[in-house]
Parts: sequence; structure tokens; C-alpha cells
Amino acid sequence: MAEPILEVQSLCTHLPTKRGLVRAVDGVSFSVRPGEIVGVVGESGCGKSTLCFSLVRLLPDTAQHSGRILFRGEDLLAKSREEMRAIRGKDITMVLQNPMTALDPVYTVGNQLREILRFNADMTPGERTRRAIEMLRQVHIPSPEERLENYPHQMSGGMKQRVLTAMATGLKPGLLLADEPTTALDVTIQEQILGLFAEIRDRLGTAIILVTHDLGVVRRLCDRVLIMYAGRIIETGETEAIFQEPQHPYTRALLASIPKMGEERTRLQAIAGQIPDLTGLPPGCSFEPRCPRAMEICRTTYPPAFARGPGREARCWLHEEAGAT
Amino acid sequence: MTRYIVRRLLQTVVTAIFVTVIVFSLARLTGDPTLLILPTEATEADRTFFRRQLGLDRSLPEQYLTFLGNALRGDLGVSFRYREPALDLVLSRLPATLELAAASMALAVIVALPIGILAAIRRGSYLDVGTRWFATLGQSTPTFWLGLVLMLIFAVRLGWLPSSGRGGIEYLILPAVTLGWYSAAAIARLTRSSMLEMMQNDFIRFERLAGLPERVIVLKHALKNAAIPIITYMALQFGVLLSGAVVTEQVFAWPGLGQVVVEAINTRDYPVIQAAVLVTAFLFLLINLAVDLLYSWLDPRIRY
Amino acid sequence: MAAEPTETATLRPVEPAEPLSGPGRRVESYWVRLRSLVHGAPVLTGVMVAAFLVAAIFAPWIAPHDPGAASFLVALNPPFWVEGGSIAYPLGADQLGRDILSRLIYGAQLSLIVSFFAIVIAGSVGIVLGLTAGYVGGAIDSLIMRIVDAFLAMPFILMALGFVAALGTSVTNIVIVMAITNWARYARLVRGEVLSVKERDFVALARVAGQPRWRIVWKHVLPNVTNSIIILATLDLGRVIILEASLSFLGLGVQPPAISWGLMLADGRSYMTVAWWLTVMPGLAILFTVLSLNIMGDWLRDRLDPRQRIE
Repeated sequence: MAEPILEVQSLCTHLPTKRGLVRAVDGVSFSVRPGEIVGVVGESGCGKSTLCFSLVRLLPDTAQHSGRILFRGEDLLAKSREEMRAIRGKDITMVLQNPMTALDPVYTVGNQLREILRFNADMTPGERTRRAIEMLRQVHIPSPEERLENYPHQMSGGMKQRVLTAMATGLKPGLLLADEPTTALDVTIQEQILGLFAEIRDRLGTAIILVTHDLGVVRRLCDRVLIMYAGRIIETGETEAIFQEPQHPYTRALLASIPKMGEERTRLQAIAGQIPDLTGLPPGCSFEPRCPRAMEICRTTYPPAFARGPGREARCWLHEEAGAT
Repeated sequence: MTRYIVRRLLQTVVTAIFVTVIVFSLARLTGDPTLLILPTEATEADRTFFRRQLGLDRSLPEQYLTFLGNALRGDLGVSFRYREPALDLVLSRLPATLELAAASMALAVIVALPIGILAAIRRGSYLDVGTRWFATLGQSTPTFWLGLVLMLIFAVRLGWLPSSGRGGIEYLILPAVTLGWYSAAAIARLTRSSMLEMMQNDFIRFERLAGLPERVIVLKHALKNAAIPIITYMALQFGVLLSGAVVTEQVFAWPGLGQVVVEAINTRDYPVIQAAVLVTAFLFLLINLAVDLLYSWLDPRIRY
Repeated sequence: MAAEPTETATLRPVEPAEPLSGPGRRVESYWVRLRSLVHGAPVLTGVMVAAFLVAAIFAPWIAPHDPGAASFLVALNPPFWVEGGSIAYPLGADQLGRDILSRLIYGAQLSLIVSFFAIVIAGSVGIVLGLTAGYVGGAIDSLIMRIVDAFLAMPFILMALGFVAALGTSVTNIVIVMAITNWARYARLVRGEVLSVKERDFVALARVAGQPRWRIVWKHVLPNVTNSIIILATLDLGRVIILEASLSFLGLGVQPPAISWGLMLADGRSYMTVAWWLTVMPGLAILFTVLSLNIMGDWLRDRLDPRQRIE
């Protein structure tokens, strides 16, 4: 098995706000191997976006980090601003949720593509243009030469997400972060973009962290899944294993909320209760107030990670008998 | 594109017509001009004759149309005092005022843009706090008082700069600082808030993710996106400057439009007042029109 | 910067998410609301605005001297902290020996009268025309807005001067002139707000429910524009004070024996080199008054207009 390209060790990201310290990411550990697609799943506000922005160190200066983020063996938390800038856009890239607003409206697509090449690669202007055309072709944009002259508003949402994906993968990054990349798109376009991601992984061997709350997307694309709740990873495992045998009650509830085939999409089975306030978490399990199987111990002590088979862990007292890892 | 230009031109023309209506009513609010033009001992017959000659015996709409027709031919009446065409009088003084306004604008922009941008990217720093204070203070300072204080310090006490009149560049400095002060504050404030707003855009975030240097993100992307509100505001400020020039010119004895106007008001020289108001209002309309047409160059989304 | 972008989650919890801390949703008493509104107000600024109002309203009881009483014995006496000054004339005396402090206090009265009434009139006219334009739309809207444009295109001070020349320089006329030169921005503001409010669901609902137009405007649209109007009016008080002073300074505002800060400045100008306090004192009075009004306006904007929070 290949060495992991990314290894996150007990990462904490705390954000001071007026209402108190928000523990957006609270002791998260995981690793990603080259060419692997890892899904990060959770409800809004569970800290998954903050996790992504922590990895590239793009949170406000007030954010407090601890732990280690080892990328190709080097700790990103120890890097200077300038070193991080050099890594971003070249070795680690990211695709955002809303392609409609992620491109600067007042410059042509070509201008923005060439600009990224200018600051991340050593090329002559002529090479940049050729490469920009090549990048658009790689994401299956027809007549890329003409598209270079387009402004963002002259493109559809799906087309823009392709352009953004081209920007994010054109320099063959080791790791691509995708923060809800398909949420804002039509279903058919979603399919195409997901296909594009799979293709990029196969062709470039790029590792992808796919942040989403859409379990359908996860099942379609991811090798492994991290389930996040209130800033922590509560269950991990191979995608199929998680779908077949969810171990944590929260994961079960998530899976139950997926609409069945043929069922109307609007009739979602939601999880009762609300996500906890990240400024003042209880000492016990953060899911306990909403958990259908809460026990006495859940109220007082946060569960450690219990092994649940090869590469599988769950933070739930129900699995105590298996023993902590 | 052409359609937009045509529509915008039409709008400007309609607005301009309303401007002439306002200026016309200004003149009619003043009462009987024969009381001003003719000596007090003039007979009632003289006055009636004179009124007929000026067309004052006709209905108001008729009078307005005559006024408009004349105005279109560049005839805004004859100065009661100088016995020469009011428009010529105003136009002869306009360059001095434009010089002052342009210098003030240049000064305001040179000061305001950098500090506005810096304040936005160093939000919460001393520079930011300083900029906000300057913005509030600058918009609270009475122009004429600032002029007097500057004159007292730099011309009277220190003797570094001439206190009044028009000549070389040294004559321009104090009036330009005085007149530009308010606009500098206003533009700095707007630049700061527009930049702050733009810096929150998704594409700025994406550009950071794409490893672009902060300098490029701020100066190439955020600034160009903020350009439309900032430039619109500058055009607005130009109107403020043209208007404020009246007061500043009075303080520094700057021989511009403002001096003519104040003198004309003191001597009830209505044709001159009308001409001055009309010319400056039209100038302002033209600048705004030009700025509007500039938008398409600044923002490709505007496709009329 | 928000840590989490909002998502259209398929897993939205049943209960609406509500912060655990912070104000509860129960009906707050009027007092609590008032307190939370005042909380964080710039205290010094509030005191200065209050001082201005008190000086203006109670001028005859506060002023230590008759503002018109001349005494050649004290002509051009400096403020008390300068050598030769006396505490009887704390801010000095002018060229005729009139107490500057007393004149400043009476000047505040004129400033307040002019700016307050001018804005009440300008605001009322602007609101009515803005509401009409925004709500009725169509040709009426175009017509009103072109007139608004025309007024906004007129150079402010020149237009004011033109009207003063036409109408005369009594206090009433100055108020009217200030109103004429200021109403257009209220109309534009209100129209813009109406257009944005009009499309919202509750107004559409009221229309569908068959409520008469004026009632919809009164009940649904007006309350939504009140905050913006209050902010603009507060900032305008300062602008009108400066404008009035400018007219007086040019000798085209109120005429003596009326007392205006601008007139005091104009009078003191000839003595600038020998008695700086004649020009500096009224200038500072204008500066501090307008400054506090502007800070107040900014604070209100932060407080009342969430869209402007970025300031």
C-alpha cells in the first residue's frame, strides 16, 4: 500500500468569535493515499468546510490550529505564508461549491487561466496560452480556443465548474479538495462533473477529498468515507462497508434520510433535533441529545474510537466491548 | 449596446430639460425684472413696454419655450450689469473653476484610493482606524473654514504659500487642498467599504486557493471589481467639487465661476445666475453620461 | 468571515437552528429593546449632540450675555486661557465686544431650526414622491425620477444660491431653499427601497388578499424604509448645517442681526490675523456639531441597516 500523501494528526481548528471559541475542528485524524477519493460527510455546520480551509491554511488569522497536517511528509502548519502560497494552486488545489461566483466576472476565462499558470509554473506567455487551451480540452470543453476569450457570465454553471476543475487540476496537483462541488448544479451536470473527477483521479493519480452532504455522490465516487459530527470524525470506513453496515447511530440516521428510489425527493426523513452549538460542547458524546440509543455513559464521557473491522472505526459506546484502538 | 446608449442619451436629454425648467422657474420666482433693470423713476408705460419686449406679457409655457429655444441657440440672455452675453461671461470664467476642480479631484483620488485600499486589506489596524477617522472628520469640516485655517497657517503665519489669487502651481495648492478635502474623505470611505465588500467574494477566495499572490488579488481583481462604485462616486464628487468651488473661490479670491455667481447674486444679475447654474448642471450631466458609458469597459457583464 | 458557507442541506434538522446563547425569541419588553439599541452608542458623541440640542432650545436661559450687546471695552478680548482674556467672556469677544460663547449658543438655535425644519419638509416631500414613484411605477415613476435626476444634477450650492437670490434671505426662505435642494435624495432612497420591498412575499400576499394600495404602502412598505430614512436624515442634519453656514459665509444667508455660525465666521475673517478666535470658535462649533451628527448617523447605520454592516 502506498505511503499516504496527506496525514492529518489530531488537528484542532478553533475560531474565536464574539459568542466564544468555536471548536470547528476538534481532534481530527485521518490519512489519504495518492489516487484515493475520500468523502467527508456531515450536516451543515459540522466543520467539514473549516477542515478543508485548515488544510490549505486559508482561515482568518485569528484561527488557532494545533496538531499536524503532514503533506508529503512535511507539516503544513509549520510553513510560512509564502511557502503555503506556493503549495496552493500547484500541489494542493480546491474546487468551491458555487461555480457561479468563483470566477472573477470582469476578466476573461483565458486571462484567469493564464494568470494561475503565471504564478504557479515557470512558462513563457506563449506556453501559458497553449497550456490553457490544453487544460480546457482535458475537461472536455468544446472549442477551447474560443472559450478562452469568454467572460464567466457567457458560460453555464456546468461549464464554469469544468473551468474551475481545469484550473484546479491543470498543474497535476497531489491533492484536490472539493467542497460541495456539485451542490449548486443540475442533476445531469452533477453526473458529468463527478465523472470528470473520477477521470482525473485515474489519469493523474490525484487524491481527492470530497466534502459533501449528498450520500448518493459519496457512494458513486468515494473509496472511503469520514463521517463528521460537531467537529469530530465519528465513523470511518470503506464506502461500501459504511453503506452496508453503519456502526454509529448518527450514520444510520444519515443513511435513513436518503430518499429511496422512486420516492419523492422533497419528502426527506430528517434527523430530529439540531446540531449542537460548537462554542459549548457537552462533556459527553455530542450526538447524545439526538441519539435514539443514548445511554448513561454517553452523557458524561466522550467515546474514543473503537475498531469495527479492517480500516473501520466508530466513536460510539455501543461498540465498547470491541475495545478502543 | 447602441440601444443602451440611445436610451441613456434620451434619459439625459429629459433630465436636462427638467434642469432648464428649474432654471427657468428660478428666474420667474424673482418677480418683476423691470424693477431691477429700469431706474426707479421709470413710468408704468416704460415698464409695460419693457415687459412686452422681454416677452413677459405672454403665458408661462410660451415664455418657457422661448427661453428653451434661445438656450438651445446658446442665448442665455444678456448680463444686466456687464451688458454682454451671460453665457460668454460664464464660459470665460469656467476654465479657472475647472482647473481648481480638476486639481482637487486629482489630489483627492491620489490620497483617497491608496488609503482606502490599505484600510480595507489591513482591516482593524491603526491605519484603518485612522482612515475611518479621516473619513468622518473630512465629511464634517466646513470647506470655507478649512480654507481660512489653512490660509492662516500656511500663508499668513508661515508665509509658504500665497494666500489668494490665481497664478502658478503654488497658488493652486491651498484652494485645491481645501476643496478636495471633503471628496478625499468621501472617496476614501467608499473605497474602503467597496474593497471590503469585494474581498468577501467567492472568486477572491478561489484565487487565494489558486495560489495567487495577495498583491495581485487586491490590485488586479478586487480593485477592478470595486471600480464601478468608486468611479460612479467620483463622478458624483465632481458635482460636489463644482458646487463647493463657489465657496472656496470666495475664500481664496480665485477668479472662477463662483466669484461671478456671488457677484451676480449680490447685484441680482439673473441671466448670469441662470447661465452659471445651467452650465454647471449640464457639465455634471455630461460627466455622468460619460461614466455610464465607461461601465461596459469596466464590467463585461453590462451588455446593454 | 463566516467559517461555514451556508448549504442547502438535505439533512436539515426539523427545528430551526437557533443559537443557544444570545437573545431569546420571547417578546422583549420595550425597555430591554431600548437598552439594547442604546448599547454601544458612542457616549461622547451623544453628549455632544445633546449639548447642541440643549444650547439651541434653551439659548436664552443658558447664554451668559445678550448676544447682541456690544461693549467696546472688551472688543476683541481673547478667550480666558489666553493672556488678556477673562472668564466673563470665556471664548473671547468679537470686534464689537459681543460675547462669542453667547453668540455660538444662539447660532446653534438657528442651525437647529434651519436643519430640522428643512429636513422635515424635504423628507416628507421626498417620501411621498418616492413612495408614489416606486409603488405606482410606469410613466409616473419615470417622470418623478427624471425630476429627481434633474435636482441631483444641479450644483448644490449654486442651486441654493439661485433660490435664495430669487426668494430672499429670511429664515423661512432659507428653510424652504434647503428643503428644495435636499428632497431629491429622499425620493430616490425611498423609491429604491420600495422597489426592493415590493417584490417580497408579504407585500405580494397583502395584494392578493385585496388590501387597498395605500394601506399596503402604509402598513408594509413604509416601516421597511424608516430605518434608511432615519439614517439619511441624521447625516443630512450635518450637511444642512454646513450648507446654511456656507450661505451665511457668502453673505447670502440670513442677515444680521440674526446670528449664524457662518455669519460669525464671515465677520471674523477680517480680524483673522489679529484675533483668530473670531474664526476658529464658530468653525469648531460647526465641526464638532456636524462631526457628532455624522458619527451618530454612522452608528445608526451600523445598528439599523444590516446590509451596511461592512462599514
